[in-house]
Parts: sequence; C-alpha cells; structure tokens
Amino acid sequence: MLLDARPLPRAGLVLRREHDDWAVLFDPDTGSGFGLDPVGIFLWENMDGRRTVADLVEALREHFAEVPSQVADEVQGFLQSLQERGLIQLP
Amino acid sequence: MSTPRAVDLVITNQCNLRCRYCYHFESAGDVARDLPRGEWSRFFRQLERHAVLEVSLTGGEPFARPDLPEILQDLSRHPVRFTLYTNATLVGPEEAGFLAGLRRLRAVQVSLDAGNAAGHDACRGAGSFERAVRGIRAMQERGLPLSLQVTLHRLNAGDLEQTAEFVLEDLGLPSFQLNSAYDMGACSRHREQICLGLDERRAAMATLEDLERRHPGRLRASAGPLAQLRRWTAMERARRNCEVWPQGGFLSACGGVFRKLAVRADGAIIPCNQLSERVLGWIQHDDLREVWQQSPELARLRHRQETRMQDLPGCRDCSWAAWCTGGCPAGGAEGFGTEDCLRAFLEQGGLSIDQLVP
Repeated sequence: MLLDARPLPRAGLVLRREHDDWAVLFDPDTGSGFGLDPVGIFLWENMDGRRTVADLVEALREHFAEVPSQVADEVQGFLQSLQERGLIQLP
Repeated sequence: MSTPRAVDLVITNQCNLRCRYCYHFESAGDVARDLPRGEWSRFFRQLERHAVLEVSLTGGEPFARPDLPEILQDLSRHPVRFTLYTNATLVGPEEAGFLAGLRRLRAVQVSLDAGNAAGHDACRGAGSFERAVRGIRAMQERGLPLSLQVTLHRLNAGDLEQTAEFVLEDLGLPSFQLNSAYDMGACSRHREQICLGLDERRAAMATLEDLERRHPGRLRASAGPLAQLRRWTAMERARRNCEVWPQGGFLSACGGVFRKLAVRADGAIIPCNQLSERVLGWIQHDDLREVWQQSPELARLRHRQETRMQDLPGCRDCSWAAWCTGGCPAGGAEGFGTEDCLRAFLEQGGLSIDQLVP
C-alpha cells in the first residue's frame, strides 16, 4: 500500500479487546476473526480515511518506544493484508 | 477478558412441550414472566457496547413467544452472530423463510431425540416427532444452517443406531451432537425412569464407539456417554504414557465462566443456564461489564480452577487425579462418585480399564 493512501476501517466490524493487550477484529456477517497486536490496534484506531499511511507511521513512531527503522515497510505490509481481507477500504 | 465473549439468552419461559427430562422447567430458571421486548432491545445495545460476539437464544421454546420475529430482527441489526435453539415443532415454511432472511444467524439447533416417533415422543409427547421433522425439513428447504442435538435417556438409548441412520442418511445432516438427560429441573422428578443407569451407559458407549468407526467425525458430544468415553480413554492413555496435561489435576472442566454468561427470561444474569439459581445481577439495571468483572460468585466459580483434584473428598488416592478435571459445577458434580467420575464408573462395574483402553 502506498504511503499516501488513506485507509478507512470497513463499517460493521467489531474490535474486541482480549487478553494481554491483544484484540480480535470480528466480522459478524461471516464469523471470521483477525487477531491484532497492540501496534495493529493502534493503527486500526487511528485509521479514519483522512490520515495517510505516512501519517500513521509517524503517529506510531511518536506513540511507541524503540520503533524499528523498517517500520514503514511493516505498516504497509500489514495494511495491505487488511485490505486483501476486505477489512479496510481506500476512499 | 474484560467482557464476556458470548451470552446465552433464555428469551422466553414459555414452551409448547413439557419434556420429561427438561433441565429448565422446575428449576430456578422457570420464572413467572418474560421480559418485555423493549428490555431485550435495551440489552442488545449493551451487548454491542461491550463487544459481545456471540449470542444464543433458547427457552422454553423461542417460537412460543409471539414477538420472536421482532426480537430477532432487532438483534440482527447489532454486530453479533446468533444461534437459535428450538424443538422445531412450531416451525413451518413461513417461519423457515423468515429465519433464512436474517443476517448473522449462525445456526439453528434442533432437539431431536430419536429417528422414530416412539423414541422421540417418549419424553416429548405424542406427535412431536412428526412436527419436529416437518420443521426440520422446512428449514432444510430454505438452506438454513442446522445442527441437531440428541439427548440420550433410558427410553431412546436403544434407538441410537437407527437415530444415527435417520439423521445422517435420511435427513442428510453432516453431523449431530449428543448429550444425556441430567438430574436437574423436571428430570429430577423422573430420574429413575429417565436417567441412564450403568447398564444403559455401558451399552450406549459400545454402540457409540461402533457408530464413530462407521461415521468418523460425524458424532459430536460435550456431555453424556460419548464425551465420557472420549475423555476417559484420553485420561487413561495419558496416565499410561506419563503425559502431563496443562490443566489436568485441577477442577478445570468448566471453562464457561471465563468466556460467557447467561440471562434468564426475567432478566437475571446467571453464570449459565444450568446454574440458574445463582443470580449475579439484572439486565434491567446492571451493567454487564461490571457484573463480569466484579461478581463475587463468578470469582468463586473461576477460582475452582485452582482447586487440586487430589484435595477433593475421595480423590486423594485416585490413579487419575493428575489428569481428571472434575465435572460440571451444576449440581455440585465434582469429585469422586459423580457421573463424570471414571474411577466410580469402573468400581461400579461399568467397564474394566482394559476394556476402556485395550
């Protein structure tokens, strides 16, 4: 996913926090779930269709300590996987 | 887990049948009045707010409630998947068509006790088999996701082979689930006539073992003879191989209180439908999250998992104490001598250990 894309969570999904700061992203129409770690939760809660992927990477650097240098690649890959599963859309 | 992942709702106390082994009637869950639809509607908003993912609706018989369609339409507007438990006798083409149009209906679970009228009607009343099968076929015609629950008792255990053939071949369902009549609610009044005795349990296990060989993966069980047979066989194999089980040796059989709650027809929040006398709060005025996190009764039930089996009366010297996980907390079924106790089954002459695991 390109750094200037503006991802938006798909409507109707449920973010449910589980043990140890993990969460499950649940699709009530299909019953499928997708696990999110704390970084994934942070990205999910900050996607709004206005912030770009670059904005999200920057916000992540500010929020977490010791963010690795290749974080932009990892965020792009993560968002790409969410898009392939139909969990986010690009307005 | 900050809130329950699943909630079971007794959506009505009304039922058109009076099954002789029913755990619900004559229990604390057999309440005088049903919550009005508006109260359920408010609770559905709580479920969404607390990210509850799965709901089951049971009774009584859900279709005995005249406003069930409005309740289900309301529920299906919230982001939860739900399962409906029914005896299917009130389901015709119209009801099946309505269910087929609902979003987020995960499954319809139907109680069918046998593949013939005599075995099914023995506890459910004359004519209920014919009506149930008509309802099942109406739902099949609409392509609804069906599952079947067979409750074993003295009056249908001899029909097991024919029941399996009817469900798997005639109805063409991929699988079915088994349990057995339990000494609770109305069943307690008929326990001598209904609950499986030692001979029936042993015979059922032999038949079920054979059915499993002939229909691999198509029989499921969470309680009753098949579940016991599987658990005890695994326990004995683990004992012989000196394997360690993560939760073995502790009262850990019931994991329900770590993931779900239930609500009675009058709105009382309870740990599960089999523990209907233990009121934790009320959906009319309590917050589900607070009950889940702060109820002393729930804390006590969760604390069971820290109880060592060998500290229970009669279990200290048991050869399987390191693998046993006790039983269902309903009715105090834990420790030596309960229906789920392998050693008691062996000592009473149920099977020899070499018959269990040759």
